[in-house]
Amino acid sequence: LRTYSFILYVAGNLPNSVQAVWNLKALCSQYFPEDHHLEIVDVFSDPQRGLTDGVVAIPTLVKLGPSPKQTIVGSLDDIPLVLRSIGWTGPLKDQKEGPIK
Amino acid sequence: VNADSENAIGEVAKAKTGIEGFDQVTRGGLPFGGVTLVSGGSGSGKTIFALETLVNGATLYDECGLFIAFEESSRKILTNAASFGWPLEELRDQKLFFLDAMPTTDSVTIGEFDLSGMLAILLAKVEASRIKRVVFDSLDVLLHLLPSVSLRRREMQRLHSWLLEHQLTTIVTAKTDWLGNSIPIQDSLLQYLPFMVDCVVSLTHGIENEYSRRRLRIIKYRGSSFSENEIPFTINRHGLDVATADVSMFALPASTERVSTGILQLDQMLFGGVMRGSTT
Repeated sequence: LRTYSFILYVAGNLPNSVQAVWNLKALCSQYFPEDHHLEIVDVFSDPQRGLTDGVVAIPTLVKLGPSPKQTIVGSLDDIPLVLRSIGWTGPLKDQKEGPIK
Repeated sequence: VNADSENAIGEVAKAKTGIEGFDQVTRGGLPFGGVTLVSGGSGSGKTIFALETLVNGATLYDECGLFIAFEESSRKILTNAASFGWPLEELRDQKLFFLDAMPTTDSVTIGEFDLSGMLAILLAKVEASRIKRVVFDSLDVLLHLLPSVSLRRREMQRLHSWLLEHQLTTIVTAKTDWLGNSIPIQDSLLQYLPFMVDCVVSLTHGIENEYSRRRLRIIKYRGSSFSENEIPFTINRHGLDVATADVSMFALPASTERVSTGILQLDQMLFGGVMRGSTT
C-alpha cells in the first residue's frame, strides 16, 4: 500500500491558505482516506520552519512520499491536476462542490 | 548614525555602500530604508554590487544584512565571491545571513498564492537578527513564480510597502537591460517597476575596441541629486571599483613657466617657449 505523505505550508487564515487546506483535505478523504499523512505548517506561528525549509510562496504543498518528492505552489484549486502532479494513476471521481470563492 | 549626515539639506537619508565611487555619484549612497533596483544584463556585476554593499554594511557601518538568493544558491554565490578577500566566513550567520529561496525545478503552480507568507518568514528573521539591509537576488525569478501581470503588480506593491514599513535598505536585482534595449521587454512589469522603487541603477558590460567596458548609471533617485553621467567601473580583486565622478577634484594648478625649445625664432613666437608640463 502506498502511503501519501504531505507537508502543507500555510499563512494563518489567509484566503489562499484556507482554500488549499480545504482542497487537500477533500482530495485526501476522497482518494486515500486511510493511507495518508498530512502535516500543516503555519508560517505565521512558526516562521523559523519556513526559513529552514526555504519556502517562499504560500501556500506550498510538498509531497514527500511516495517518491519522487514533488512541490506544488498555490491554492490547489484543480483537484484532478493536483492528483496527476502527485503521481496518482487511479481513476478520477466526480468532484463534489468546492467552497464558494 | 547610519544615515549619512553630510548630505545636502532636504535630501533623503542615505546608507553608504562603502563603494567609494558609487557613494560619490549618489552623494552618499543608497536611499536609507528605501528600495534600490539594480538592473543589468547577465554578468554585469549586479550580484557583486549587492553583496559588497551587505559586506560593507556589516563591517563598516554595523548594519546586519540578509541576502535572499532566488537565482543561484548561497553556496555558489559565496564561492564566486571568495576571490575578493571579503571576510565572508567570519560574517556569515553573525552579521550576514543567507536565505536560499530558489524555486525547485519540479515545482508546479495550481491555483493562487501570494507573498504574505514569505514576508512573515522574513520578518521573523529581520527581527531576530536585527537586519538593516536586504538583497533580493534576483527579482525576476521571484516574479516568474507569479502567473499573471496583475498578480505581479499586486505582489510587488505588497513587497514594496512591507520594505518601507520596516525601514530596510533594500537592493533588488533584475536581469534586464532597459534603456540598453538588448533584451526585449517581456511584459509591462519592466515598465512599472522603476516607478515603484526609490532609486534605479543600471549596470552595463560591453566590449569596445576589444576592451571590456563596464559602466554604471543612476537612472533615477527620488529626493536626491545625483550625477547623471555614465560612470566607468571595473571589477577587480577587491570588488567593484567605481571611477570618481567629479574630475574637477583632480584639477591642479597649471604652470606658467616657459621652457625654451632651443630655437631662438620659435621661442620668440611662443613668448619664450612652451609651457612647462604642457603637450605641444
